[in-house]
Parts: sequence; C-alpha cells; structure tokens
Amino acid sequence: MAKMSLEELKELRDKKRRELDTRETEGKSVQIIVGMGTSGIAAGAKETLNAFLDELDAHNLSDVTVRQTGSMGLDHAEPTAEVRMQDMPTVIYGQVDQKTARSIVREHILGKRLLEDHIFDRPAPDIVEEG
Amino acid sequence: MHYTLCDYLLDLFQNALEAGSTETSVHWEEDGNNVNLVVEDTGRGMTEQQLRRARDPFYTEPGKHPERRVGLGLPFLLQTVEATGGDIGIQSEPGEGTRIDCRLDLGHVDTPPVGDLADTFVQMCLYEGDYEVRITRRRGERSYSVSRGELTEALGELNSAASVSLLRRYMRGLEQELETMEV
Repeated sequence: MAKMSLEELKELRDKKRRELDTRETEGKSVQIIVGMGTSGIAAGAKETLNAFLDELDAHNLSDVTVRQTGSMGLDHAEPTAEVRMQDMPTVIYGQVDQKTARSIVREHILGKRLLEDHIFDRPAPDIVEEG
Repeated sequence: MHYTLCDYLLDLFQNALEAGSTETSVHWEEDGNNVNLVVEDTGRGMTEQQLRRARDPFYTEPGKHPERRVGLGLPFLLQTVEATGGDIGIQSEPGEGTRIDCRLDLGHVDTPPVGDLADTFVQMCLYEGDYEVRITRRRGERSYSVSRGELTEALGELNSAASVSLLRRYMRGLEQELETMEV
C-alpha cells in the first residue's frame, strides 16, 4: 500500500463523498459501538472492530457509524458491540468474534433479524423469540 | 498479559481518555531490539497514593466500574515489563496529567509481538468525544507523525465506515514505508 499525503487522503474522501451523494445509501443512521476496555482488548475487540469495518466495506455500507467506547460492564461477554438503528431494538451483542461481527452486518443490519444467541443486553424479553 | 504490545498501548491510551485527557501524545520508537514507548496525557493525574494503588491489580478507580474490584490495564504492563527485562517510569501530577515511559526488549523470548500498529493508531482516533492525540512514530532513521485533528480535517469526520476505511489505508501506507527498512 503506497504512502499518501494528507492532500491525497482528502481528495479520496471527496471522491467517496461525491459517490455517496449520487445514490441513496443503505446504512444511514446505523451505529455500531464496540467495547474497547482492558477486557475487550484482551478478548479480541480490535479484531472484532476490523471485521465490522471489512464487512461494511464489502457491502458498501459507507454511512454506518463505527465508534469505540470503554467497558460496557459485560466483561464476561467480551468482545461486546452495541448496534443502534431504526426499525430494530437497540441491542448489546456479546462474544462478538470476527465471524459474529460479519454476521451482525449481514443479519442485523441488512436482514433486520436479531442474532439471538449473542444478545446480552437491552431488548425486552417479548421481542426475542423463544428458541 | 495482553496478546500484543499494541494491545497494551491501546489500553494505556484508553486509561488516558478515561482520566479526562484532552491532549494525549504517543511516541513509539523501534531502535534495534528495543521499543521505546511514551504516553503523556493531560488527564486528572494521580497522587502518589493513587499511583501506588493503580499498580495493584486488585484495585480500580472508584466510580469507573461500580461493581468491580479489579483494574488490570497498568498492572498488565508492569508485569510484562518486569518479566521481560524492560524498564518503566510513571510520573503523575494531580490536575496536570500522567506520563508513562516504557522500554520493551523485543529480543526477550517472553515479550509479546508488536501487533498491528497502523490499526492501533486508527483505533486511537475512534473513541467518542472531543480529544486530540498526536502520534509520533520512529523506526531507525525514518519517522512520521499524525494527529487526530489533522486527520479529522482531511476526512471531514472519523465516524463513518467510509472515513475509517480510508484512514486505515492512509496509516498502512505510512507504516509500510517504515517497515521496508532495516533497523
């Protein structure tokens, strides 16, 4: 990967923005927040974050917001990721390894289906179907 | 013990943010078999007593995690430095900030691998809130420096997957140029 200058970075960003402006993108107002405290890092949250970014890239979901935070208080379930979007309950998923991160993008964000085996907090019990 | 040295760095950096640091500088230098790391923040700092307790794995700052009795970030690093023949110095002043100077010996068999510095530097820019981080990276004779402020200006924002994806490309380019040289 060639080294680029800040000016080249800005040009690439402007180009990307023009592309986004010409189409109605999916993924608007979707937020993914990854827990990145000591226990999250130790459990592989950095790789989880990268898996989210790669999968969002693969599906061209450029407008999804990806952020990090400290511990969410669910250390036994790290890595953890909170997903907020319209038409879906806000969910904190736990044990989000790289494979699960990719599934969250495909199932939760694109397919609007909860990954019930990985829910650790937030949705009311009546939202989650009994397995 | 963390899996890579980058994990220790991200952990220290997150401590700085949680201490309320608005300006943090990170210096990472590889020189032969040594990694010299400095993390200096403008957070709330610690008294001597707080610093002693921060070294203790069975202590965490009150209020940070209400139900928890352990805090492992700094003790992890101290343990690794001690076990692998490195050095560490911590200076802290209440109301002023904290500075951690650390040398790690990459030649020691128990020193964890460095990890992915480019991704770690990207991740240091992705926490919530308004803060600045200045990263200086040196390997032998070559070096580069970046700041969250200038990257935010170039990209407009650092929240969207599109921006983060470009930022990763940018940081990997900088890192690759350094990695092609012998030290």
